[in-house]
Parts: sequence; structure tokens; C-alpha cells
Amino acid sequence: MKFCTVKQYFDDENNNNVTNGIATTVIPLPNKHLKIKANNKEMEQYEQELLRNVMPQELTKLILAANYLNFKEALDFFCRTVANAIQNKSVDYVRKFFGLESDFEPGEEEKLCKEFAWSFEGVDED
Amino acid sequence: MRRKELKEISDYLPEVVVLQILCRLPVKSLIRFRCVSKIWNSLITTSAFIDSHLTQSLSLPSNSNKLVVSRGDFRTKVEYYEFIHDDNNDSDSSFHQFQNVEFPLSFSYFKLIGSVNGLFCLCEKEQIILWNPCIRKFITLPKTKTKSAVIYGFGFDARTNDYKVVSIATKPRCLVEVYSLKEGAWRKTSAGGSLSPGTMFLCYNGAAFIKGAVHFQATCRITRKLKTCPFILSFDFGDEVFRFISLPMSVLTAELEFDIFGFRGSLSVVCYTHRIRTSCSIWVMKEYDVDKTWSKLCTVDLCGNGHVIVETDLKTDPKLSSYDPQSKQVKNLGIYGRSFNSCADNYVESLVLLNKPVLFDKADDALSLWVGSSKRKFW
Repeated sequence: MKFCTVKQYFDDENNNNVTNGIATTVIPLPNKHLKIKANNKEMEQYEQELLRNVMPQELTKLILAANYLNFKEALDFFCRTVANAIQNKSVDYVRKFFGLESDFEPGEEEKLCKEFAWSFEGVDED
Repeated sequence: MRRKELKEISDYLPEVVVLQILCRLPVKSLIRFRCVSKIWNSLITTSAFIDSHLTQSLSLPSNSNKLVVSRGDFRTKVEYYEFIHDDNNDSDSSFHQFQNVEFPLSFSYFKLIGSVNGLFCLCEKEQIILWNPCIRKFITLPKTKTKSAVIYGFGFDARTNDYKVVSIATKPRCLVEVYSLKEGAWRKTSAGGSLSPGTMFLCYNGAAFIKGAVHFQATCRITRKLKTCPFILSFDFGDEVFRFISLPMSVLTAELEFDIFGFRGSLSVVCYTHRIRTSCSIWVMKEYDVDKTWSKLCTVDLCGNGHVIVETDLKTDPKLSSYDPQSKQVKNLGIYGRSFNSCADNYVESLVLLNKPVLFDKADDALSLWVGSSKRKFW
């Protein structure tokens, strides 16, 4: 299953996400995953390495590649990595990361922030 | 230039992928990220998202070691909920507390009826509330029709994805009502009619939500002086019917006292074979509802227990410990002090209740009490 989709992925000319960099990261992943699946500490180290070497934009491209290839373990791994990276960040950081803008009416955002004030405790500085 | 690059990400990051990332976030982050945009606010509060987040939460191996222990003190009238987890990698023989939540309505003493998927059901006299401590939200249920003392049970109907509360009134005759969170109302059922007239419940509320049912201790009065041996009555939240489960043959006597709990997904009982509780035996029903599969897990001399939480009532230093029957390892839960009506259960973080409106006046008053008070200690 995985091999067929990979071939299709490379053949598909409309797919602008294909770059060599991504292929070399995603495809060796199953082997790596199997090797380090049992050991959580190694997984964490690999995750840290990934975060340092790969720009957020690249990471999202990896996620898209894994999603297209229907490669569940890689998708889970990359999404979890992104989730761990952003979980303690501020609302502004997350907006910049995903390229979003606030679409709230004036005052609406403040009301929500006030209601959930407890969830803003202990957030990382930007 | 940078702004353009960043905008490109969201251009081809499909919603389905954003959801994959979001459902792996802890609850506290998700509540904060409701402020990111209107779209995110609405994404996070849909039933579909709450369900996918719960599925993710349940599948995390770290969530299988989380416990919540409730402890009530009659004297100060305060109830504490401690969330603790067992870090398997640690050579330390203790559980670690990661949260200590004071129950929001501390002016009266609420009893924990049950908890499923991070949602707690508590009652005080006739008032029942459903509370999700990690999103800090609770709702108050409308009152049932019956005025007499009732026994409650809390569970989840997987077929309709609905949280339900069962209320059993035994006088003048057995009346069973079910509250459905989806419907937002109580409904009478005919389950009471299926029980024989002498049925007596021996517990205050149901225990051990297993295989879609909650379990009650019961016996049957034959004559004024004669009773049957005690047995278990299960109430299934799917078909809303009672079923009889008999206890292990070798402990059956009319004087048998026992407690029901869930152990690694199976129905289990702690049987006290003597009035003076110096020892007890723990039995696990290997195949649910098949009587012959009761098997004795261990006999405990009340100085330890196995991933079974037991209160050791040593005169000088009462404490809660956990004991694993396989490894014979005792771990201190780090909870000391005399406790009344303590109970422990598995816990998972979830967003359940997030999209439910808070309907009742009394709850609003209590909510303002909660928000206004500065001495509440949450994480």
C-alpha cells in the first residue's frame, strides 16, 4: 500500500509539495519508527532534533506529505511534534505560526480572554 | 516577504490537518486557543472535535496511569480531588500529584457518584451536577420526580455517544429514571418493574462503570428475617435494563460484605469475609457476566494492594497506597490523613461538556461564587 502511494506521489505533477528533502525525511521514517517505537526517551530526542533542524514551514509540508501518503504513524508523529511545540505558546504565536488573523468583533476577543483567564497562566513568553 | 510566506502555510494547510494537530493538544491549551480566531473557537467546540480529542486522549499511554482520588472531610465540609499519575520510568516508589482541584461548590458536601471520560457526576441530597474539572465547567441537572431517597449511577452509552445518570428510588415501589445529557431531561423507564419486590439495594450509589453498565450491591428479602445472599445488579446504559450477576461461590454467605470496583477493565469485588476487616480477598471476573470466571486475585492483609487503592488505617498514620499484585510492589500515593468516603478512579483529560449551555439559575449563582473567590487553587 505504502509503495504504491509513494510512486503515485512522485508521478503526480500537480503536487507542488514534492521536494527531495521531504521524501528523504518521510520515507525512511517507518524504519526509524520501528526502531525507536519502544523507547520513549529516544523518541523525545529525535523530536527535539527535528524541531531544531526543521523550520516550522517544513514541518507543515511534512505533515501534508504524510497525510497525502496516508502514512498514519508519520502523521501522528509530526502532528504531535507540532502540538508539543505550540502547546505552551501564546495566542499571538499560534496565529503567526499558522498564518491566521483574528476575525473577532472588537471586544469579543477580550471577553473570551477574560472568561478563560485561567488558561493563560504559565504561558511561554513570545 | 515573511508575512507572505506565513500566509502561504495556511493557504495549503487543510482544516483536516489543523484538526489533527489541535486534537493532540492538552485541554488547557485548547481553551486558550479558542481566542485565536472565530473559526478556531467554533472548531474546538463542535461535538465532532470533542469526540476526536477524547479518542486521542484515551489512546495516550500516559493517560492510562492517571488517577483521581476524592476525599471528603466532614469537619471542614470541603472535598478535594487530587489528580495523580504513576510515572513508570521513575524508580521512586510514589505517585506524583499533577493537580489538586478544589471542588467549586464547597459550601456543601457533594458525593462522587462516578466518572467517565473526564466527566464527574456528583450529588448532594437531590442536587446532581456533572463537572469537568479540566475545562472548569459544570452543569446542574433538573430534579427527578421522586422525593424519597434515591440511589444514583453514572455512565456512558457508547451507541448514542451520550452520558447518562440513572436514578433508582426504592420506596414506595422501585422507580427507575434515566437522565440523558443529550436530551437534557429525565425519562422514566420500566426497568424497576423487572426487579422482584423484595429487592433491596445495599449501596448509596453505583460503582464500576464497565462494559457499558454500572453496578450495584443488592440482596433480596424473602421474609422479614430471611434474606438471600447478596448479589450484583448491573444497569446497562444502552438498553436500560438490570441484569443479575452472582458473586464468587466460595465467598457467598448472607453476611457477606463487599465493594465493587473496576480493575484493568474487568469487574472486581473486594470481599470482607469477617466483620472485623483484618483481611479481604479481591476477585476479578475474567469474562464479564460469566459467573464461572470469577478468579481470586489476592488476599490482602490491609497493608498494601495492587494498583488497587486501599486505605490503610493504621492508628498513627492512615494513608492510601497502591499495590501491584504482579510485581508485589507497594507505592505510596502521597495522600495522608483520615479520609471519609474516599474513592479513586481512572482519569483522562477531556473537553466533554464544553459545548453544553449552563442552564440553571442555581448554577449561575454558584459560578459567580467560584469566579469571585481568590482562594481557589487550581493548576
